[in-house]
Amino acid sequence: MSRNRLHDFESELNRKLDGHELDVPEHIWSAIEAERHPAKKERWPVLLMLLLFVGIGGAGIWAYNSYLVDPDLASTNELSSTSDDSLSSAYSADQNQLSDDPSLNQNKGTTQQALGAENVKKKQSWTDQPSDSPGFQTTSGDLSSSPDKEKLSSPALNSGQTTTLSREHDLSQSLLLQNRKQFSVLSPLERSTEISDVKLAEKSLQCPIFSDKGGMTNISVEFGVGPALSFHQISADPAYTDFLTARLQREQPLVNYGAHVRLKKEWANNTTASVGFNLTSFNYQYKRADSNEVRRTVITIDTFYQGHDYTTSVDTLLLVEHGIQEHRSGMTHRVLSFPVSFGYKLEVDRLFLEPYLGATFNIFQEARWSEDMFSDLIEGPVEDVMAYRTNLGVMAHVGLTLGYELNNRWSIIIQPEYHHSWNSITEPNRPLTENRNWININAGVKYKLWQTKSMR
Amino acid sequence: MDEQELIRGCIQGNRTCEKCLYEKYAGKMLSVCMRYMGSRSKAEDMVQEGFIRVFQNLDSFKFTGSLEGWIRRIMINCSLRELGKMRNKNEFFGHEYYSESSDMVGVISKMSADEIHDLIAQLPDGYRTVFNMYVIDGYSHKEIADQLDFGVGTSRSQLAKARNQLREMLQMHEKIGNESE
Repeated sequence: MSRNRLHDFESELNRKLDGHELDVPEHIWSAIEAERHPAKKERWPVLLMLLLFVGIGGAGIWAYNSYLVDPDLASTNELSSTSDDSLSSAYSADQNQLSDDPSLNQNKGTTQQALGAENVKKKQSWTDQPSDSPGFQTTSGDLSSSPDKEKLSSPALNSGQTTTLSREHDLSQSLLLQNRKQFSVLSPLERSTEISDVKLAEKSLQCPIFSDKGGMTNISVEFGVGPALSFHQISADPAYTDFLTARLQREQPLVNYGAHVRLKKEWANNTTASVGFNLTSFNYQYKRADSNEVRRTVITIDTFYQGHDYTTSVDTLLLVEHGIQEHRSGMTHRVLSFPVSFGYKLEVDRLFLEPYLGATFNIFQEARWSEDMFSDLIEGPVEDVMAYRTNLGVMAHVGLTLGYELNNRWSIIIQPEYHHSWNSITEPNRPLTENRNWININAGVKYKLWQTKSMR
Repeated sequence: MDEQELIRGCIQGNRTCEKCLYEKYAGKMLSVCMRYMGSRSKAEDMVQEGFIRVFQNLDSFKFTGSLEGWIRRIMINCSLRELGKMRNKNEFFGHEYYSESSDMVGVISKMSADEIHDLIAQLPDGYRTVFNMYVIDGYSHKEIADQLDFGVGTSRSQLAKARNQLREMLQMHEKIGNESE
């Protein structure tokens, strides 16, 4: 640089400032290092969360099955024991009465035949009833209150009151029945009805999730809408920019929302499976400052006052700018997902809680706009681009349904659900790499379409 | 470690090399940014942003000139860009000052570099930028006009105004110094 263009004091000023240094605070280097070498994203927290979810869920399910008294099973035992006791007692009383009354001995065979026919008729009416219908109970009740019962009433009959049996009682009944079967002392009614299903509860012997202990099987439809929180990570290919910087910032997400519809089957053992679809939409705005060589012609008219004169100059300049261009990009992702989920339902009175997980098949549709801004101008965008793209992807999801049963059909539900992608998506001709993760928090309703009751 | 090894290490992402390079030039670059920005906190921001750019683009350094000059250019570009964002015409161009010229060499020779820094920092943004670019960093009026997106005439007038104001400030500084003695 020629110094003769400088005024008298400026050379001295240059000499003074040459090589001048200032003390640099530590925090600047920390900030540079943090941006240059960001902490590598750890995958283990996600895996740990999944493991915890599975572990806690599994433990909860096991505990629930181990300690909760199953009302369905209790009623089954109750029914079996009631029938068993009353019928066997009735048979004993019948036998005693017949043997004690000599006048009837001659008609014993006939009476027995009649009684047998009556019992067969009763058995017929019993087995004809659906096992889960109220008529089943009624038939049993009819038997105990029938004229036969009055005729054959004895203390033994009264001792066969409906009680909830303990497991030991179940066992003794089972052994007794087996012995009687072995020695062929079963009554015709016992033989015909083949009451042999007094068993111990199997839940202590089998995996709690897959043991079928009887109960309600439902098919329901769920619908929910709600906000979506996105955790998309976007990085730019450094090769994309040839000068100075490739800084990418994600700005505030705008309107994000999601909706879902699901068809769900709930088995009697509380396991659930569902299929359906989700629609999630995200809007983003990104800002990227990068290098661009921009050539433009500018005509400037300057009027200034120097000394005692006004001077007006008109200049035509070809400006070549580097590194001061800024891109703003907006993206709208619409994701149509088809989730397949498996879960387990825990119920406490009318409240229910259902952790679930599964895979999601996604179709992404993206609408994108972008504009280039000159950072030193405020005129506005010089370029506007719109693009659409559709692609397919597979993601995992894990969620939790919290619900409250309003009545036999309707429930209200809230479903936080996390979607995770292990694969990043790099766009062709646009070196941005995205990792897509999001959370939907949908609230809605659940409607029970069909309900059947199964007996173990 | 010579400069070439240092640069290669930085390109490979070696943290030690990056830190060495930073420590070697950070003080000087803070001084450069301070002259342009006029405030310590803004200058620190520019040093941070500038060094990130330096590390990101070090592979494009051709070894044709000095590394210090290359880094200095990046720092100046960062500062100019920031000033451009902040630019408000009134604030940038400021008011006009004019005074009779006088020999200020003696005054400056008595001042420390920090005092000169403070003095330059008091100039309005527009004057300070042109003054720094022309007088200290050796840009031509054409280059200044290109960088700052205004006419060459404007660059010349801004420099003239900056010089006048700086002279006034130096006279004031001298006057205060004489009174205190």
